[in-house]
Amino acid sequence: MSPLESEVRSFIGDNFLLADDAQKLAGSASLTRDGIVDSVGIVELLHFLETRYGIEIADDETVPANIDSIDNIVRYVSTKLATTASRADAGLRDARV
Amino acid sequence: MPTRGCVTLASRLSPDVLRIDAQVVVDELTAAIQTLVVRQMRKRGTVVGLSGGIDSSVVAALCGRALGMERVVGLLMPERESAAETRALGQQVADSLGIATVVEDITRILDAAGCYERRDAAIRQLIPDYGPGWRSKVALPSVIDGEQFRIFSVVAESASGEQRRARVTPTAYNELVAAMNFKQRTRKMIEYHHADRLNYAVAGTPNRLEYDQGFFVKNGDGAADFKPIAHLYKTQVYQIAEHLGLPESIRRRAPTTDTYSLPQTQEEFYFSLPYDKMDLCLFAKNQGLVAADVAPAVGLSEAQVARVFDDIDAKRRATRYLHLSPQLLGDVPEVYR
Repeated sequence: MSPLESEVRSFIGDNFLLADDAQKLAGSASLTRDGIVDSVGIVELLHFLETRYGIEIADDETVPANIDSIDNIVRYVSTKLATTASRADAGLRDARV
Repeated sequence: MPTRGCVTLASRLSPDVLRIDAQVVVDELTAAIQTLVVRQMRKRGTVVGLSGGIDSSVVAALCGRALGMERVVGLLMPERESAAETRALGQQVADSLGIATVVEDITRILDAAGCYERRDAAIRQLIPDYGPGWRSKVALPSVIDGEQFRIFSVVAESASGEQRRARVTPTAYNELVAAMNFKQRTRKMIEYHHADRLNYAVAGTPNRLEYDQGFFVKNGDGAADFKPIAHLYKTQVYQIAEHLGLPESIRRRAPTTDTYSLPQTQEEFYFSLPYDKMDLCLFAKNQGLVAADVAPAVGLSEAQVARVFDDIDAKRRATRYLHLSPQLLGDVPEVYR
């Protein structure tokens, strides 16, 4: 399990489930359809991801494909972090030139 | 799992499927109110909080028909942010029915409880300039426009008309809702005060959409001794209002929350669609129809109806707790529940 997935599972366990249940949760399980997270829970989840990983999640990115399961969250945040890092690298190269 | 098979119903799905024989329904409801309130609860009459909306007006009229207009008290409970017409419309309904009213301005109670102050502090977490002279409301994006989760925003307007919008944070949202819920809970406290002093029962006023989708505050407007129209779709409540001859000004008023200081429709705050389409979607879903069957009748695409269906399920899951009475962890079989 990656550190990112571990932190997401811990957050879900601390806020929406009991910790043991969060560790057993299937990565593909739908957080909303399975009744784990409601609309206020989505707000909490977004706030956690934005503050913990320093990313900005636009309204049109708050879709199930990005947010509705642990697998989707890990994939989405990883991509977001990689994009941010590559932009920072490009900025650094531009500054050197 | 619904299947595309209810061919007969699907082919005739239109607002007409929600037509009722209003006279028959009124007769059934008045008989049921008599049995519940007098024979079972042993109460002398009913208290109804009048909002100037269709639901509370119909409930007051039904209680009056069942028990006599002299055994119904309509409570008008404005506060400083209520819409200007709320009190006038409530009084108009009471006058047209011939029921007594009591006016209880709840502003001072709300002030003392810190409702406005706590609300303003919550909004300032999102919009730091928010303060005296500003007005606000909470809004949701439309469910039919896209797949994105519906996330609340606070919309605030300064005295000069400048409008700001900010997505809520968990703390700000929870504190805002907790502050605003003082309004519904204070009104219910006043209703029970008058019910106690008169030995009356409190009539709740949710229609089926509101009841099913959890559009109420627990121990606020969700509290009541009985809820006579909670099984009726909103369009059916309008049919009863027409049958009972309630004033046209009431029947034409758009459903509003009348909770936030900026005008706010129920559709903007909670429901996905205008009530007539929402009714039809809820009815169709309850009958086991699938999105493809419903789409033509409500003028939406199959994908949009599917999102409305998903939203209905999501609200049922999220608000299940609101419907629960206090849960016991062991049996007390001697007490009837």
